[in-house]
Amino acid sequence: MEGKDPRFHRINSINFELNKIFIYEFLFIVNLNIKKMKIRNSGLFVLLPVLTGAFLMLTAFGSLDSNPLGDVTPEETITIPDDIQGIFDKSCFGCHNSESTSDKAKKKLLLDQFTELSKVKLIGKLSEIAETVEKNEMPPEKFLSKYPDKALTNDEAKRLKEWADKTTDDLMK
Amino acid sequence: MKKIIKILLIFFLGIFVIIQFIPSGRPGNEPVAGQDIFEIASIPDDVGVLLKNACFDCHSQSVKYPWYSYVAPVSWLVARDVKFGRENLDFGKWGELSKRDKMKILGEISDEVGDGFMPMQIYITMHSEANLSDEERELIVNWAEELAEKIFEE
Ligand code: HEC
Ligand code: HEC
Repeated sequence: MEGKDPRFHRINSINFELNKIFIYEFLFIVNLNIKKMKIRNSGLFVLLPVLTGAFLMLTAFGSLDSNPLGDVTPEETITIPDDIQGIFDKSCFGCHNSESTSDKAKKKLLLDQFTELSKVKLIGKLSEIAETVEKNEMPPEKFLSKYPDKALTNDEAKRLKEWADKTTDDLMK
Repeated sequence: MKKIIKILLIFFLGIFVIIQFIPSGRPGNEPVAGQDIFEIASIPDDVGVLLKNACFDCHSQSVKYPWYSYVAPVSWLVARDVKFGRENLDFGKWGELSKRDKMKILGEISDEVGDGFMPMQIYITMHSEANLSDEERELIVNWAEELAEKIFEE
């Protein structure tokens, strides 16, 4: 799932950069064909650049697949264990991600960029998470009345709070 | 017709007078020596003025109540804001917070002020000096983030 990957927005931006390069190359080739070959009216004029462009795209996407991020893996201040990530995905991610439609939720907490926050910011946000979980404030009640299955179970709440507290303690050391 | 209006007027006036006797529950100021943020943390003068003007009437132990906050039903609203405001953040009891809670609240200050959620809009309409410009918001945000870094490194 794309949204699960904390780095998906980076992949998108790389894609965008690559696409820009393709377009430039494409235009360049079109230009070249017109100037050098003087084949303005032949079918080759259209076909050649289209084929070259398609070829370039394919090779580039191939390389994206085998090595999606190159060297730009972002620094991660912490790693979120799988079971905690599972809780976030089930109950929190829908509102707290950078594509969310809830502005307020977005401004308070972005789980897709969470692990890249500075230590100081992380301590603040982890303490907020611990607090909202302890007070049973998240997910919001209104939301739960529509989607009761998104609620944190007692066990999940306990694990989430313990994880947030422990991670804060580790960061404070 | 005129009679009905008169009766209604007297009726509402009566209610208005009666509700003045309901206690508003406005919390008083109980400053604790040595706990106020101004006695503990480093706050540049320009930021200090902004905090006092824009935040202290709800988030401190030096709340100044204007005349209308003595008149019900406004007094109830003011009392509620001060009560919940202090529950979330009390600059007058800064010293009682743990290192971790200080960092949390400074992060929240940076978010709330940076995103324009604080001070509360209703307060700004009554107190023009709390209408912070973008530059003033940035001053507070930067101060909060620097102070959080400082506390972290202590
Ligand atoms: C239905 C959408 C939704 C879901 C699901 C949701 N939140 Fe929120 N969250 C919000 C909104 C909206 C706010 C802003 C609330 C406000 O400002 O009053 C928020 C605020 C927060 C805050 C900041 C609290 C504060 O008052 O400073 C934290 C921390 C938080 N959420 C954590 C979580 C966690 C952890 C989960 C999953 C267990 C979760 N949220 C699930 C919508 C959501
Ligand atoms: C009119 C009263 C009022 C003023 C003025 C005011 N606040 Fe608040 N503040 C509140 C109330 C009430 C709450 C609790 C809101 C809630 O629970 O949704 C609050 C909550 C907060 C919170 C906690 C938010 C959270 O997510 O838990 C912070 C941080 C905050 N205020 C900072 C400030 C700062 C900084 C200023 C000055 C720039 C300020 N406030 C001015 C009334 C006020």
